[in-house]
Amino acid sequence: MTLPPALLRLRVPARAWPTLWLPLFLLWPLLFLIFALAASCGVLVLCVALQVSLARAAQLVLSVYALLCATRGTHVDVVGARSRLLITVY
Amino acid sequence: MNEERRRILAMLAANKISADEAEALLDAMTPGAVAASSAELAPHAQAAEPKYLRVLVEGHEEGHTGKVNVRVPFNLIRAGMRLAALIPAAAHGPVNKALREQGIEFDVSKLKAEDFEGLVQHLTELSVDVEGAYGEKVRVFCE
Repeated sequence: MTLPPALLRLRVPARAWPTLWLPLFLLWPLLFLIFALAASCGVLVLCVALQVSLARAAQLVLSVYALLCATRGTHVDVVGARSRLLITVY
Repeated sequence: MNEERRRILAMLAANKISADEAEALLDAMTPGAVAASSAELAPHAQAAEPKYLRVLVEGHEEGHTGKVNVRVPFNLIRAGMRLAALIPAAAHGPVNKALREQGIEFDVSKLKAEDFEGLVQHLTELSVDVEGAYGEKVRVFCE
């Protein structure tokens, strides 16, 4: 089973701020719950409003989850004259 | 010890074959030999397949050097394309319109799941290297 991102390294624009290591894995239970609720609502909306079959709606929701998991390894580092933004997903 | 192995060793003992030949024959007989050789080849094959799309931009802003360093996993691109292919037909119009407003002329209805691998495969061969007159550099490559 592919797991969602476990750690997020974040450096906010202000240079004085330290790099933050956010342990996302601690939030997994909560995130799974939110995702399950959002997915249920999404499937319902897709089936009712857009006349999408239940199987295709479920496939769509799973694809969203796969997309979320695939963000692991993403790295964005922008260094400007006065600010810096760093985001790394592990 | 099975019969073939015994025969190879007997041929070696009788000096009918050299030690190297015997080793090669024994290796060829070993069931794990093929698996091991493919396992040895696999990391090279994987190493040849890039995992990330890199975008590096370097420019100058108010006397300082600005840098952009972006690494996008190919898995993310694949997942995004799979998701885009699943967009319900009813949503194609609004999505295309939104893309057009952003200056992207693209028809999402033409995305087919079977084209993904070929598309990503060609993307792995991508390499862009641009250098501007004022020292700006843009590099797009795979690693």
